[in-house]
Amino acid sequence: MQNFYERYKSHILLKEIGISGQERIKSSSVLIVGAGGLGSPLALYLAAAGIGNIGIIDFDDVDVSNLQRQILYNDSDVGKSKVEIAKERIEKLNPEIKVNAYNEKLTNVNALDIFRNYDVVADAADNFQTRYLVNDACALSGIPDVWASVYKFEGQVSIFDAKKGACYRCFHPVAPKHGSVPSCGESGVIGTITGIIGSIQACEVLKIITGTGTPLIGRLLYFDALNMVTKEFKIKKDKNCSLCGTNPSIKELQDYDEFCQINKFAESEITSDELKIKLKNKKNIQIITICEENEEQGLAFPDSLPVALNNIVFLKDKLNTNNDTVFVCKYGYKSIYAIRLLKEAGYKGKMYSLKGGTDKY
Amino acid sequence: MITIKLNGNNENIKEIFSLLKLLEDKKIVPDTVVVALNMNVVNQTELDKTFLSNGDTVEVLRFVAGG
Repeated sequence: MQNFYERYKSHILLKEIGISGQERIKSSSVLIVGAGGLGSPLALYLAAAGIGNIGIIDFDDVDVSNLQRQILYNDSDVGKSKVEIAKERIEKLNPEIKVNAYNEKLTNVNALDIFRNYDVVADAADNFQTRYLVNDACALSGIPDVWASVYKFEGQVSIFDAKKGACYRCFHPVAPKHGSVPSCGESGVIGTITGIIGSIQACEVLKIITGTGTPLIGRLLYFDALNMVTKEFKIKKDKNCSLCGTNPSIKELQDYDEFCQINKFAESEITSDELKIKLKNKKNIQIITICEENEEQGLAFPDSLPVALNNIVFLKDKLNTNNDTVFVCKYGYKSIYAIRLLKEAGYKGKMYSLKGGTDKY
Repeated sequence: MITIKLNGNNENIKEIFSLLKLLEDKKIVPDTVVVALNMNVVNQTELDKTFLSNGDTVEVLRFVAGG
């Protein structure tokens, strides 16, 4: 017990936390979804703060490109399971806590069973499917979803607690079409923003556990690190919300790949090997590289035509419908979205998207 | 004409102009953004029914999932 007072002296000194608050922290359990840029500071600060039971779920291994921002990991961890390393690291930081590492994908099958063991979930995922899943599973389990998200130099934080305020579906009921919003890997992200935003997220977790201060329920905090400006927006609970409204239609977990239309154009996908064979055998193939507007980049296919997503529909009247058109981008998401846009615009030619993108070619 | 502030910049627009029309004019796909009118997030289903008034502040944030 003496170690308790010594270790958490600086928390106990705060009248907003004190001994009772620190004991509440000790007896609480928090699940972190995603052990990446946001998950790293979250896990470190929550472990240091003395959260008695921390769960971390992620199915990825450490990649060298993660080290620019994912401060849980060292260079020697490349190739190893993220959650195993995370567990090892934070148990070393605080041996008094219990850590559960879930080296698996969060799905509509396992989510409710896992969430049942936690008081709070911190959503640090990197895709929309998981974020809608976390929100729905939290609302159905009656626990708060401490949510944060980053993009380039920007971060956003809120708490979606359907019992007390808006949920993620009240905030944004319609998922963006798959590929229309780039991921961190595609758009780039400054490492420090994940540290700033993940730390704010950890702070919100500690506040709701200790019942102190004014949590971000019904509020969106927007942080712009490029200009060092913060803004705050109100998020109203939507009485027509399909999940937490007065007459909800969602009573169980959904198919989130379908909700986010992940597989809708999967039949257009072509693997690297298939493309290589295709290029060898056939001459009338036009390759289009999807790039950001004004983006200077070395093209993986030097003969390809670089086109920004915003201008894709203008290709409708320029492409030869007798030729096969192959769309490529870094990860193979935007290229699928490009096919969708052209199909919706009425283009009838044969189109392919390079599966896994130029990254895997 | 009325004047609004869009992400900090003055914009002159016609009267009886909805948030959805504003996004369309700016070639912004509604489901990829979060739109706030006078610091209140506007539900996506309300964008076409929310009309702008002189002096309104509109902020359009990207809807992102990066972590």
